[in-house]
Amino acid sequence: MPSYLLKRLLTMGITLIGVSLLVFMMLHLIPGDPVRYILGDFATPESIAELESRLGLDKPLPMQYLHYMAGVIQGDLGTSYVTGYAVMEEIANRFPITAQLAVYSILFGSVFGILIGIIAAMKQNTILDQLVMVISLIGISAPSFWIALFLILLFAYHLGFFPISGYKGFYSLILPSITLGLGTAGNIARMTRSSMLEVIKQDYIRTAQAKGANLYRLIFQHSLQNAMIPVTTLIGLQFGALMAGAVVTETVFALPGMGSLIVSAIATRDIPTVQGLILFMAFLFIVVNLLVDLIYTKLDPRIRYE
Amino acid sequence: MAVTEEKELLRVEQLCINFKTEDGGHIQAVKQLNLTIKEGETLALVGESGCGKSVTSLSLMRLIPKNAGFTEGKIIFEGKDLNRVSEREMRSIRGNSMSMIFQEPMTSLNPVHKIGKQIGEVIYLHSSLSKAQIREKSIEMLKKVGIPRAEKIMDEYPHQLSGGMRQRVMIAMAMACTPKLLIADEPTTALDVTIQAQILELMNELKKDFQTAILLITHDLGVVAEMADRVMVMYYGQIVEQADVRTLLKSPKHPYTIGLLNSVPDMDDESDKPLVPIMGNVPNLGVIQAGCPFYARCPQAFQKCHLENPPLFKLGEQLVRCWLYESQEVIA
Amino acid sequence: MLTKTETNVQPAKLDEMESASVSFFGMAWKKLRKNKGAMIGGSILLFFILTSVFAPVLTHYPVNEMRYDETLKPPSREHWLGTDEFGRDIYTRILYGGRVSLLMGLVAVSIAGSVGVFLGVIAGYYRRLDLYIMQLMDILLAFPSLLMAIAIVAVLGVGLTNAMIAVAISVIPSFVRVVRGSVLAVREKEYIESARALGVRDWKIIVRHILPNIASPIIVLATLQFGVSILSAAALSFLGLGAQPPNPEWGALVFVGKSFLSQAWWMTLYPGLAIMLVVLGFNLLGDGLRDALDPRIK
Repeated sequence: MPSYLLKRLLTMGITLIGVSLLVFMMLHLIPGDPVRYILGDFATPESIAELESRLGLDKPLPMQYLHYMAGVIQGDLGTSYVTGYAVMEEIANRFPITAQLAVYSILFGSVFGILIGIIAAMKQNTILDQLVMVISLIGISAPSFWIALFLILLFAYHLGFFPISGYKGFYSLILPSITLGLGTAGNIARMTRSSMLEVIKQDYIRTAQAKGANLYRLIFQHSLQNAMIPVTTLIGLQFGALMAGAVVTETVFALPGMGSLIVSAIATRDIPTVQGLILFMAFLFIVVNLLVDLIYTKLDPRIRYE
Repeated sequence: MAVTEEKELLRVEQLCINFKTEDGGHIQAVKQLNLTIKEGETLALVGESGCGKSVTSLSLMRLIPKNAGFTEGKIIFEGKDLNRVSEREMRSIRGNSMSMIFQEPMTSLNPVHKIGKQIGEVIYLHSSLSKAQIREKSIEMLKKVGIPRAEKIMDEYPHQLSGGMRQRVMIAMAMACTPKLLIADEPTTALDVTIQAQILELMNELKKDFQTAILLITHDLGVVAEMADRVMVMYYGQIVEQADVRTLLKSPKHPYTIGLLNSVPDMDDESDKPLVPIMGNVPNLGVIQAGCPFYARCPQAFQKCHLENPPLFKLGEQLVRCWLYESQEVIA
Repeated sequence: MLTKTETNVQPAKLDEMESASVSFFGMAWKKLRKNKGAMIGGSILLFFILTSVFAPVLTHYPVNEMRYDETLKPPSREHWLGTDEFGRDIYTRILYGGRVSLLMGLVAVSIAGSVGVFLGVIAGYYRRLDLYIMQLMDILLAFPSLLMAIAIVAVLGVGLTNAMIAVAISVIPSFVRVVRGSVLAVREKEYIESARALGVRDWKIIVRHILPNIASPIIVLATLQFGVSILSAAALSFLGLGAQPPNPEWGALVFVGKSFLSQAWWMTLYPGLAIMLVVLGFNLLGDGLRDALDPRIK
């Protein structure tokens, strides 16, 4: 187990270095000179040179990268070209909102998705089953920003239940979490259904029946844990989709999270911020998937990481 | 050896099992089957795969899914017709006074639960013992089925055990509530030969200890010789021959039974006579035919076999469904 | 209900037919025809493809004609789906926007599909390169796909073409994975081994024997990714990073509509509905294709 973890951490490190290299190269290929962008069209050559050396842009690219990575290891992601704040600080400020949003929508999506997935499996091939499946597919197919707009129109604008935009505590995260969780719920419902149907066919379910277990026990004691094994993978993968979705959702609801920051940073060509955010989000995604793999061992005792 | 003067435990009358087909019709997998099992007796149900023996065993436990098929006839177990009792009452019988073990020990245990939990569940479902008592009883059962380090096994998962061990666990689970009837569906088919003998011996021991009757479903006549008091041979959803185990093995009457015996190597026989397989296959259940279903494969078939399905004829204590014995008394 | 029982008949029939050597894709087509979802999905797609192609015939309004006396009009007899803030007909704009949205999906899937199949076959067939390619894919997969598209747009700059390329790149890894897995399964087959033993050239083996045998998963994936790509492209436009107004791309229409949501809901509702229906169509068709072409995957 520890050796497995070590191996995983090692590959994780390699992947992260790869990610950082890729992001770094990509962003430094951006056409247009960030220094000119910051100083405007009427900057003197002296001030340009001065800023370039202050930002370290006069050094060769590999040096810049090593310098950057040395900072990353110490928790320094550089300084925003636009605000002048440390990128790490900006992320730290905005991370809680994105994290809350992700957790609430994963919760909403998983609970809701697993529940209706079980119902659909139990009522296989009935109208209810088909209805649930069509609705899940619509949940997956509908653009989240579009759903968000109509949730805002109905519940915030017309009914006044929620704030229209901005962050004012938990209350203002309800609609965004529902928006973001819908696609997740649809995916999880479909996976739960097919996984449950697969498990119900297994011999050990017949054994449990032969022991005198009732339907409730058959589902919750004997099927659910087995059926959750593939669903857990999906939840882990959905986390990535959620972070990407957060970019859209935070923008629609004007929430000050990491997602809306990345959009504005791209618009202002604030390279250190974009770079730091992408690196951080990739890091989160990898960590979550590692956690999912570890949860497996709890769900499926057959899997042992050696 | 045959147990006489014992009380009747299970009587099945005119059992028909029908499976729904895609076109909305149904096919009959088991046709008007009668059988009785006395307390403490071992009855073997023998036949090739597809003859309806496994389906029969599942129907006794009422484990055939409602959307797959339906059964007709009476299944009278301890005086109650199981086809008429409520689902709740049926659940209180399953695993309690009637239990079952299956062919595949590798897949019959839930891979994500510890052994202790799986044995404990059946005790929990049918008794009001405390958690500690349940654990104690589970360990006791594991010891009874000959599992060494029973306490340790309690906290292990099925994948950590061998096939033979798992079948022992299945047996411990099935015997935990001292059932009156144990249905064993090909209990040793998936196991190594040496393990097979151990498991059979174990079942014989437990049967004596617990006074449990066994309905043994098998295709293996060696197992039959080892275990059974009485034997019923099934072919194409029907009983074709029924006798006590000695009579059947010594003087089989039905050509199918004779064929089955000829296709098994006999260890005691020194004469080196060749094995004779039965030609052909069990016909498809969907095919409706007028005559004897064994007609096409039967070496002794004659005109009448082709036209009419024979009833059961009685030869002393033996019942045979074959026109060769037409002169005898008709049973059904 | 009837279709359910009919699909149940399939496995047995399939065996019979295969032994009678009826073509695999002929069988799959028969199976697909009986799949209600796939047929509905296919019809939706056909509808949107036809309406995009014949857009000029289906409307008498020019796509960008502004009429200041007709601004923000709700749906009516003259303007079936209402008008926007410049008095442009929404119905007309959705028809023409379909051309952009569907084309974006097509281009993205074509690029990603060809690059993905190329890399996947190389990784699966030439095992020496496998490690490097898959490590690269793992790095790319560390970005959630939309996030990756956003990052690429950040590099290439905002705009329709760049958004298309960004979406294409973001779906390459999923193609590589699926193709590599299928190639690995196929290359162990006896007929590949014997072809190699006979000295048949690699590219010939790949083109003649491997590609035809991995076509099914590629078709299924391409169909599903088509929907995903349209959705991603629309999201980029909505964030202002993709197609720019006055381009009638559906995501861009929703982006514009957002500002007028409380006065003119129709500006937002209908383009979003179009996106949803098309993506739904691809998902339904993709599910059906998977059942028809590859019964092993659930």
